[in-house]
Amino acid sequence: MVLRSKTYKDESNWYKLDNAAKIYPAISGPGSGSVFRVAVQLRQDVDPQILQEALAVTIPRFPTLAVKMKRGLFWYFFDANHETPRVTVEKAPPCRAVEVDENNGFLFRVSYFKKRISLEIFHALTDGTGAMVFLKTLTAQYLTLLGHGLFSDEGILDCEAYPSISETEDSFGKYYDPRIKSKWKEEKAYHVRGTRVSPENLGIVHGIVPTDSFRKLVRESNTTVTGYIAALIIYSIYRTQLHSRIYNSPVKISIPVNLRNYFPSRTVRNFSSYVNVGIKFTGEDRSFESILEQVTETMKDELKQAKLVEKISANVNAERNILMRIAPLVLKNVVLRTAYNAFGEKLFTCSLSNLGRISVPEPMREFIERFEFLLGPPVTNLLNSTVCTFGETMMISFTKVMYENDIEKFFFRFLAEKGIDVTIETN
Amino acid sequence: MKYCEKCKVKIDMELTRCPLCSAVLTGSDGATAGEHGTMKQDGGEVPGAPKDRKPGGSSDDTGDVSRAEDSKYPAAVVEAAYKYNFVLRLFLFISVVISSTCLLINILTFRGVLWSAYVAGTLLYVWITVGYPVFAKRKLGQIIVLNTIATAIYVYSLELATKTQGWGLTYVTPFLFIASTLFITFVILLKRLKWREYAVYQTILVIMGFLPVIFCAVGLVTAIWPSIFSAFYSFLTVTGMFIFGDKKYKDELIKRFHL
Repeated sequence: MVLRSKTYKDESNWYKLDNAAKIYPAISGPGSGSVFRVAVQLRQDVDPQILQEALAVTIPRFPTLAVKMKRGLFWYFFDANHETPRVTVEKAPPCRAVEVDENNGFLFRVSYFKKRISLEIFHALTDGTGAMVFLKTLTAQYLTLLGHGLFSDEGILDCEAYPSISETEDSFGKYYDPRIKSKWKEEKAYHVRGTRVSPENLGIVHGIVPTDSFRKLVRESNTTVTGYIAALIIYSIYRTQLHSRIYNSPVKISIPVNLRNYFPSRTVRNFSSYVNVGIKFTGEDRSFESILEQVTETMKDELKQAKLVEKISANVNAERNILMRIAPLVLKNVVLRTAYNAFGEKLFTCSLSNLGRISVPEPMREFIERFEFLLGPPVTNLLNSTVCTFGETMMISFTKVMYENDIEKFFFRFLAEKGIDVTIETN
Repeated sequence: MKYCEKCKVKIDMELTRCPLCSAVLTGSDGATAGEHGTMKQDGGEVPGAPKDRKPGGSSDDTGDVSRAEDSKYPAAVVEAAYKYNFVLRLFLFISVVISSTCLLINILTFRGVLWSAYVAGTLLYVWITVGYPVFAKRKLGQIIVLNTIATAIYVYSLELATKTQGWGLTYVTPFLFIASTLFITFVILLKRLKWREYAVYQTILVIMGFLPVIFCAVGLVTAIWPSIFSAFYSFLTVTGMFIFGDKKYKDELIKRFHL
């Protein structure tokens, strides 16, 4: 039933986990699987049979995703997986942990629901940008098998071609500076208060806004889309949770940064860092405008290549520390998990991941309604958010493990008051 | 499309109340049609969450993927991964009861021997060698390596505690290493397809097989021949692995032991 364009039976095909990936196996459990989702909403119901065929053709093109994770004595590693991943019907909740025995050992899940094709993937394999390359290539292949012709460019890979070395490289190791040592010193952030629910009850709130009118609003404020949304999340938390009260810990938004925009990398593996943007509320009233100005300023400052190099170098050098390397995997997992629980999410209030504008080849556009992007449940925090833009549709999504919805309510009401046409969807 | 007058937002679902503020929505289409499908929605909970479903009932019913025509997310819920393990907790509690009771009796009737430590140590040994592999569902190779290490340490501790040197490290440990190595060799011969995985454990055991020679060198043992025998058996095993495993064995070692 399944087709395979070609099979890599090369036994020596294996990969070390990249620098960013190394944390995820240690901190992932049944509750939080470090899984995120990129999805495409088509104009017609998905045909699972064709999607299965498309997946079988697409997966060999992505050798760094066609893997299973194995334990070494010192590190985990990815070993080539020659099975075929299965397409399944989508089940709730989204972004739940990918079990090892669930999909022939693959660390991702391709599922369909009505018109949507979802790719839920373990973060150790790749980041949002890498996952989007896979999803777009899969979608193009799916549409091709449906008889809509061939598609190329705009990040779609040719499934007949042999994978290039630049796609499978660990770019962290390529662009770091061995002289920069880590100096992790960051203030803990304010934490959203709310009633925690189990990850099975993950709540999703999408706000769909027209790209043009939102961008116009952003331009008028002299900032960026991410800057505006980050400032508005901070403002929403401030107004709903700590208005006119003094808090010693700042409200901080953690913003992942796609490093491919700063370095000439084409990798399909992880290559992102983050900036934490925080505002400390010291009692006096803060207007949205003043928060926006400060956030924009901080982001401009933090998003310099030198600062990003500093950040990735600190991580790579920590990973390459000889003591870290010779520690047995069991011990490493304990150390990494403890460190993540002590710092990790404690350093930010909410994350905001903007995947940016998704582009597809012009002939493919008519088959696609929109792209979606979701993060899985946070471990110690209660809320995170994502942005994903396709054509005229910008989706601002909140994923949360709390009952209260004051923050999203404030957020979207604020946008509506600014004259933006907001459409809400929830799960 | 429904509309919330309070939030000033559109709602692209057949709801009666706003998901943000619970205000009654306005909008003409399907005001009553979506009624029964959306009743559950108003609770603010994901409908069909595990607690209001019978276990096992939800994982396979692919027919139940949507609860209403317009729903954006499936209703079929995968069961919660977390399970309360009563047996594990029972054994854990029994272990604590036994060791603490022994400690208490030991202290109250102390005659110079801390015998309760033997009880606690033995219980710990049983937990590591039997309890952990069973409850954590470890793989056979891991269990063998873990049990070999735990048994070697347990035997040596007994030897020290009872001041009866001359049996554990001298005879039990070398033959234990040989037995474990031999056992894995048989497993590899039986489970040929999974030989890679076991080759790793085999390698760890082979390295351990050379340890008795070090014990000899530092004078911890009373008879030398079992230790020499253990090292020799390890040498034969590793030679066999390289000869029969060929390049694949070397590749597997590089993967599993990369720093």
